[in-house]
Amino acid sequence: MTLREAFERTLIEIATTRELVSLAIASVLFYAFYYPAPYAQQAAEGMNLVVVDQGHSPLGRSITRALEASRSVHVVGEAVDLAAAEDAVLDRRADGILFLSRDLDAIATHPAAIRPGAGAMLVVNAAYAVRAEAIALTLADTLVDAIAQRGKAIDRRLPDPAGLVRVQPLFNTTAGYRDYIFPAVSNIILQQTLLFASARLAAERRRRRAAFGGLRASLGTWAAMTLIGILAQSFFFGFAYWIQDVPRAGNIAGVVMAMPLFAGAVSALGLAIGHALGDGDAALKLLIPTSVPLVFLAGFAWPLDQMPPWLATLAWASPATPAMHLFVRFNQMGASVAEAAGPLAVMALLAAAYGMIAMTMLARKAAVA
Amino acid sequence: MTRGAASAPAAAIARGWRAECTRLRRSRLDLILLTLMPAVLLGLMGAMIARGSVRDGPVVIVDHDGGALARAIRRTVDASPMLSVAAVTPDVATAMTMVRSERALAILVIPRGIGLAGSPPAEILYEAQFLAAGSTAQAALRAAVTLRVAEAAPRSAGVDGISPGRGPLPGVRLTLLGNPTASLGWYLGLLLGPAVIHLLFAVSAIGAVAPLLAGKTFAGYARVTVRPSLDLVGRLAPHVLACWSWGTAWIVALTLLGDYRFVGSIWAVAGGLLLLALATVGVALLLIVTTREMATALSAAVIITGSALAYSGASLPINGAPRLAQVWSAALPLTHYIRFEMDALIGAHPLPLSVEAGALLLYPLIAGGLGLWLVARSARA
Repeated sequence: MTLREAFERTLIEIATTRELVSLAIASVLFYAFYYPAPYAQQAAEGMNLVVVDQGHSPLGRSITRALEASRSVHVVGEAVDLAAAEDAVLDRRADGILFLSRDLDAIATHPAAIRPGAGAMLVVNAAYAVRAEAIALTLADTLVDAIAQRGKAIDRRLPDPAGLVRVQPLFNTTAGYRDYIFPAVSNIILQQTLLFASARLAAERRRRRAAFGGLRASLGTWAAMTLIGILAQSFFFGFAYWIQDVPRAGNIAGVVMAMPLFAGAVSALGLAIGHALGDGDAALKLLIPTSVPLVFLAGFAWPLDQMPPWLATLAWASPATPAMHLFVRFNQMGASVAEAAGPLAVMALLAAAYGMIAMTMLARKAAVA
Repeated sequence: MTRGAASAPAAAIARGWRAECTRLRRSRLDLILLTLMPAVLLGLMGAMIARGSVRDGPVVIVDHDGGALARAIRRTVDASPMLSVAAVTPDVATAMTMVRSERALAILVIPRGIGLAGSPPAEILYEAQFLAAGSTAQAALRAAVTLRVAEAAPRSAGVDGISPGRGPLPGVRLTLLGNPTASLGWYLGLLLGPAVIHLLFAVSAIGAVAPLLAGKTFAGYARVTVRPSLDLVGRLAPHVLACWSWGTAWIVALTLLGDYRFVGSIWAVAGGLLLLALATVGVALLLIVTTREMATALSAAVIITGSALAYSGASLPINGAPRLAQVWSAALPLTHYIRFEMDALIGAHPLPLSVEAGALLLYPLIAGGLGLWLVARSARA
C-alpha cells in the first residue's frame, strides 16, 4: 500500500466509523463551547458578604457603600455581632464577614497609634481560594480608597496610597478567568481527543487484523491523523477563539509552524499506544483517566518550576505540556520564535521520538502479521 | 449462575462480588484501573503540590531611579519568600522578553524620582495569561512595593507625624477559614483527588458492566442471572469500595503529609466520599445501560465526570455563568461533593451539609436505580 492510499483510506475510515467521528471530530466541536461555558463571566461575581459595623462611622458607611457598588461583592446584610455573622457563613448564606470596629476612623486618622483589635477585619472562607481572593482584593481596594479619602480630609498633603503603585495585567488585559483557563486547557482537549482517536484507530485495526503493512502505509496513517489534528487546532485557535473573543493571533506564523509538530507528536503517541494494546476499548479505558492529571501537570495552575524536577521533566513528555507553553506564548503573548525556542525544541523532539517509535511498531508488527 | 439457585438478596450480591473479583483477576487492565492507576495518578498529583505554596516566583525589575528608596524596594522584593529577583535591567523590552519566554512572572518598573512628591507611581506589569502564578507574584510584589513607598511617601510630603507606620493598611486584618496559610497546594489538593477518582472509577465501573452486554443488549445476562439487579450491585461494589478507599487515602495523606487541618470533621468528608463513590458508579451504570456501547459510554463519562471540576464552581463561582451552565453544574455530582467537602472543611452547620449529602444520594438512587431497573427489565425483552 502506498503512503497516499493509506492516507486516504485512513481518512475514509475515520469518516465512516461512528466512534472515530465522535472522538476526532464531534468531541472537538463540542468541547470548544462546552469547556469555556462555566468561565464565561470571566471574574467572580456577587460574593456574599455580611457586615458587622460596630461604630456606623462615616468611614464604615463609605466602605459598605463602595462594596455594595462593586461587581464582585454583594453585601447580603448586617449582623449584630461576629457570632451572628459566623452563623451566616456556616449556614452558607455568606462567603465572608467584614467586621468594622467602633473606632474604625483611627486607621485613617491615627494609624500609628491604633489599639489592638481596632480597625477592619475580613473573615473569608479561603477553602475557595478564588472567591477569597476576589473578596479580599475588592475589600483592599475599597479600604485603600476610603482611608485615603478620609486621610486627605485631615491633611491634604498626605499621598494617595492608591496612586503609589499602578498594576497592569499583561496579554490577558482584563485578567479574565476564561481567557486564562481556556487557551491553556485547549491544548489538553486537543491532545486527548486526537490521542483517543489515534489509539482507537490503531488498536481496532490490530484487533481486526486489518493493520496496514509496511513503513509507507504506516506513514500514510500517521499523516492522516496529523491532518485531523491540524484541522482541530485550526478550529480551536481560529474559529473558537474568535467567536469567544479570546486573546489570540499574537504570532500566527509561530502558531502555524508549531501545529503540525503538536498534531504529529500526539497522533504518533496514540497510534503507538493503541497498537500496543490491540483493543480500542482498552485503549480508551487506559487513556481517559489521565485527562485530569495531564491538565494540571502541564503547569497552568501549578507552575512547572514549582514541581519536583523529576516530575516537571516527566510532564514535558506529554505533548500538551510543550503545546501549552508554545501556543499560549505564540497566540496570546505574541512571543517570537526565539522566545518560544525551548518548548518548540521539546515539541519537535517529541514528534520525532514518538513518530519513530510508532512507525517502528506499526511497520514491524504489520510485517510480522 | 442460573435461576433456581439460592436467591437471597445477600447471596445474589455476594455472587456478583465474587464474579467481579474473578473478572478482575483475569483482566489485568481492569485490575490496574482499581489499583496501580489511582496510586500513580494520585501520587503524581501529590508530588506536584507537595511544596504547599508557590514560592520564589521570578520577577524582573526595571530600575529607572537607582536611589536609596529604589534599592530598598529591590531588597524588600528579594526578601519576600514569594518572590525572587530574576534580573534587574534598565529597559522594559528586555523584561518583556523574559515574561514572554516565561522566565519572569512580573515586571516592576521603578520610575525616576520615586518617593518624591509628584513622581509617577511604580508600575507592576504581570503575566495574566498564566493568571494563577502571575496574580500571586503580582500580589506579593504589590504588597512589598506599597509597603516601602507608603513608608517613604509621608516623609517626602512633609507629614512624618502621621506616617502609616506598619504599612499601607494598618488596623486591617484578614482571617482565612479553611485555609489559614492561603496554600494553593491545599486548595488544589481538595479538588484534584476527588476529580481524579471521579473520572477514573466511572471508567472502571463502565468497564465492569460492559462485558455483560451481548449484541448490544443485557437481555442474555438478565435472563440467566438470578436477581440481576442485586448481582450488578455486587459486581459494582468493588468499584465503590476502591473509589471510596482511594479518596479517603488521598484526604488523609493530604492532611497528614501536608500538615493541614479540617476545622470540621474529617469523618464527614469520608462519608461524603462514600456518597461520591456511589454517585460515580451509579452514573456510570446508567451511561453504559442507556448507550449499550462501551466507547460511547466512556465518551459520555468524560463529559460528565472529566470536565466536572470546571463546572463545580470550585475555582470560579458559577453564579455569573450562563443559565444553562448553572443548571448543568447543579446536575453534576462532583459539584455537590465539592460543596460538601468545602463546607465540612470549615465546620459548617448540619443543614448545608445535609442538603449536599441528600443531593449526592440522588445519583445512586435515581441514576443507579434506573440503570438496575433497565437491566432487570431487559430480561423480558
